[in-house]
Amino acid sequence: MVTFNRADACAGTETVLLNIGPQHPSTHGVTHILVELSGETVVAAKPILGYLHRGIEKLAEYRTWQQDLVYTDRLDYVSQIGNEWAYCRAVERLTAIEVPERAEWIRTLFCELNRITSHIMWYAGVTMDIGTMGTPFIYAFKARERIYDFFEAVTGARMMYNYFRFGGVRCDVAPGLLEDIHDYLGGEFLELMDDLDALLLGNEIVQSRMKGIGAFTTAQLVEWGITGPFLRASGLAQDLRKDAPYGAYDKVEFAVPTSTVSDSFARCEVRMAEMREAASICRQVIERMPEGDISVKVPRLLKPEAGEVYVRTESPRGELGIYLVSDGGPKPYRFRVRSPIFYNISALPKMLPGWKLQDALVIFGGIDTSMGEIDR
Amino acid sequence: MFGQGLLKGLGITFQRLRRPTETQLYPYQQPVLPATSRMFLAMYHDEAGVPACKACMTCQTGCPDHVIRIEKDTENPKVPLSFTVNSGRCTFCGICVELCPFSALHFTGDFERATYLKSDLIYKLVDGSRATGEGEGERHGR
Ligand code: SF4
Ligand code: SF4
Repeated sequence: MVTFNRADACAGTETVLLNIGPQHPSTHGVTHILVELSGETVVAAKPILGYLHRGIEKLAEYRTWQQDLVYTDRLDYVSQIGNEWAYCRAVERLTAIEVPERAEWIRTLFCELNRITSHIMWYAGVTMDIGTMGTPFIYAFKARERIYDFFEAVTGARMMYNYFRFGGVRCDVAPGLLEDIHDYLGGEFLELMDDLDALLLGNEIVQSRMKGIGAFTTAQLVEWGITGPFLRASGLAQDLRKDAPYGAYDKVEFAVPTSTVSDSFARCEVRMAEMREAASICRQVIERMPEGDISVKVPRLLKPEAGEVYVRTESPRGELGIYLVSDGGPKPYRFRVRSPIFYNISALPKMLPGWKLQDALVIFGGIDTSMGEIDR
Repeated sequence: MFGQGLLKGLGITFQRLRRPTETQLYPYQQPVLPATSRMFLAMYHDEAGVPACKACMTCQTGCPDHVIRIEKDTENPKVPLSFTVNSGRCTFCGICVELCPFSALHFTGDFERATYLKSDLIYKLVDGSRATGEGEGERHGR
């Protein structure tokens, strides 16, 4: 006689497919992850991309080199300056344009300010992921708003700056504003950072949610092509600002925060430390910024010689590369972005299986996605 | 001890609760924007009301998003008969302002121009009016 055994019926499991997104409150941008669950445990995960595809790489081929600069802001709309810088460096290398000293320092300053605002966005995202209902997120956004005020005063926009130019930057920064930034980053910002640290890292609930979750070895992460804070939290101090310095990074002192634990909590620690380092870089840059020109004259219609170039920069999310091919014309023949998060999110099918659903969200939060750059 | 961090977090929240609010009560309170703000485009006119634009077409060709459309006067090619800006497609990048050799364009601090119709976002900068005629709602460029 066959008896119905309830435990067996449950254990002879059928898996459940669950769509996280495309409009899930604890994802970042229009992310869509299809997870297969056995009970609470993820057995397979598949990121589904393309919801934010705007065809920027193709659009760029139909616009002049200068006009493309506008589109780079819209790649990763959380760290816009980093994209502008990568593209400008690529074109400058292609056309052998020399950038004046002061412009390099200004670029470094704004890139680091942007790193802070970008990490604040991660902070907001990850705290919402674990269900903090907004308090740390709103506190962090206070700093973001202040820094965006600085950006607005200089560039005229709060998000799409279009500030860099080939061979320099569009306009100089007023000395009074530099002092304001310096004072803010040396005082109020650090005070806020202490609070943010206490609210996230010091919170026992967060610790128990994150410690030991998503622990991957450095070898695994390297194999999956992970870069940025995610990789650095596993102990590998890979940072292009140190390894292949550009801008004024070789003239300022800063540490590359790493951790040896390589779990979700370590990633938080690394990013929080990076924000403090970025603030310290900004202060050093303001103290030691040389006088001089901020841009060189560049022909209105740029026609680089035929050739190709690949430039790597350290964006807040990892290694951002821009690959350009010129056929000698006024428009790029090919414009290709090596987006760090695309590689990071592509490793999700390897990362998530075996973890519980809520842990998977924590691991995903550690990637710090920005869909604008993944889908392009 | 477990819970110390939680109490500290609560302490921070209470401390911050006693600070003055920073919320801006828009639209009751208007934000003070810096002079550099890139909001809607406008054109300079001299005292007699003649637009500063000389219809050189630099901005039309320089705009990445085909936002600007200029029609020249056939008899007097230095006078723009119409100068329409399709603000719905504008990215406010500032390239046109930067390129203009006569410094005819500038950004205003005006950002409150929400409309019900996309076609209402097309502005004629020469006389500052809105384009609402037949066929004006179509997109510029490709
Ligand atoms: S601001 Fe940029 S997008 Fe707008 S009209 Fe000027 S060039 Fe075109
Ligand atoms: S660039 Fe200046 S002068 Fe030339 S068409 Fe445009 S607004 Fe007129």
